[in-house]
Amino acid sequence: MLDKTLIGRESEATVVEVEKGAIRRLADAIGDANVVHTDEAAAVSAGFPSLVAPLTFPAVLSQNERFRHSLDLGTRSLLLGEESIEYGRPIVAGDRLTVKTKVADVQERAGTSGATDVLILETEGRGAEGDFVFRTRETYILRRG
Amino acid sequence: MLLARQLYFEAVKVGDELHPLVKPPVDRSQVARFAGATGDYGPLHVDEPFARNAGFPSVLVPGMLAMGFLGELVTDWLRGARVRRFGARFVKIVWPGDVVTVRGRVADRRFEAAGRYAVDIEVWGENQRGELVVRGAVTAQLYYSAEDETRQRNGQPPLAVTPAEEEERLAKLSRSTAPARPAVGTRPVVAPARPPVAPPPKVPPRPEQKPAPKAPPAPVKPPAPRPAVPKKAPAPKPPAKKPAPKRPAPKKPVPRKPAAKKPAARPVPGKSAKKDSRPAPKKKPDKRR
Repeated sequence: MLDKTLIGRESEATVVEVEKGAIRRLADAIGDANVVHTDEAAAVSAGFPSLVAPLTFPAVLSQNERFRHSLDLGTRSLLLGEESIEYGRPIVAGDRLTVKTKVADVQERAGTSGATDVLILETEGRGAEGDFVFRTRETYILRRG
Repeated sequence: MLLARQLYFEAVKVGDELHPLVKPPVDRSQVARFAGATGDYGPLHVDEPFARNAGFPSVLVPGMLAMGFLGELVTDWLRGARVRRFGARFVKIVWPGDVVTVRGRVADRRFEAAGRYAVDIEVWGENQRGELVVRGAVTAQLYYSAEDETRQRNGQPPLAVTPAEEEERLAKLSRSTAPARPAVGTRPVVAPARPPVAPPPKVPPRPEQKPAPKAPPAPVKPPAPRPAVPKKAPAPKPPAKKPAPKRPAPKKPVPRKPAAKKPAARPVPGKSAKKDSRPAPKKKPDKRR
């Protein structure tokens, strides 16, 4: 069983600059053909200030290896079971976002192969003026071993 | 300026389906690129020996890649409309070599606060065996119409249309007969808030009214304002939110041609007691294992 006292633990806030390259790389890895992710002129003519990040980009911004490491999960591997994203506005290249992750919950669920631990992380991203930009909620299944 | 191709609330109907997107087989290079792009190098996705030691047949394709496919589908369909939420549940593991097809359907459309219009879309992905691998839901906010968009882009208040007003407009558009809304029973009442479209029209038809953006010029036969609904109403949908992993998929491998083509030892041309045993030709290249 995971340590319940992890609940509420927060990462430090990090400031991330959303780069065009990062947007393009994600779109390319997905094979996403929507040009607003890769062609700046197309994004601008569609009314955006610059390249628009794919919808799943907040999950990229939510990656915080150091924080995850600090949770001391041992050698168990994390398998993502659910992902949920709320958006305050589209994320575009050039955004500088302040991102912070916290442990929202720790649960134990009965799985097909015995009880499994579940770790739920929430990450919030805010813009330069403190405006809400996104929130992700990730449900990880911890595999034993 | 307006987008050349914009999606407006007035043209969206519950039950509308997004054009399916068939992604190329996911291979390990793509998984590696995805890991690089996301910064998530979880060993289950990039370290084959590790994955095998953990009891898997190979590395697993990250669920977020499948969600990325759903995102592509939705972004394409929404054409710039604002997404407010996007959630996904990873139902089944995607393996290298799998071919994922993503689909979606409008589950609800809502008049929110005055001048705010939202649609809920259910989306899902299946592998080449027709198995559901990911299921998700998207809520997006749309402009009601081109007029609404123009107003808002010019800093004016949004166009406020009420359901009643919309119905009235639709009623006017539908000429003599009420658009036979298919028996309410056949499809799940996903949108309780939305009463059956267009009550019997009492207003004489207006000649050249244009319903939705792309509506064709009125031919002799009055094009029902919302033809797609009754007409193509996708077969009886399973109730509730389940995205219904079933649909006429290419599951059945065209079994007939092989018989003729292969004059093998056992001639079973005309009648075949049981499906030809040997050939399962059209079967998709089955992945790993």
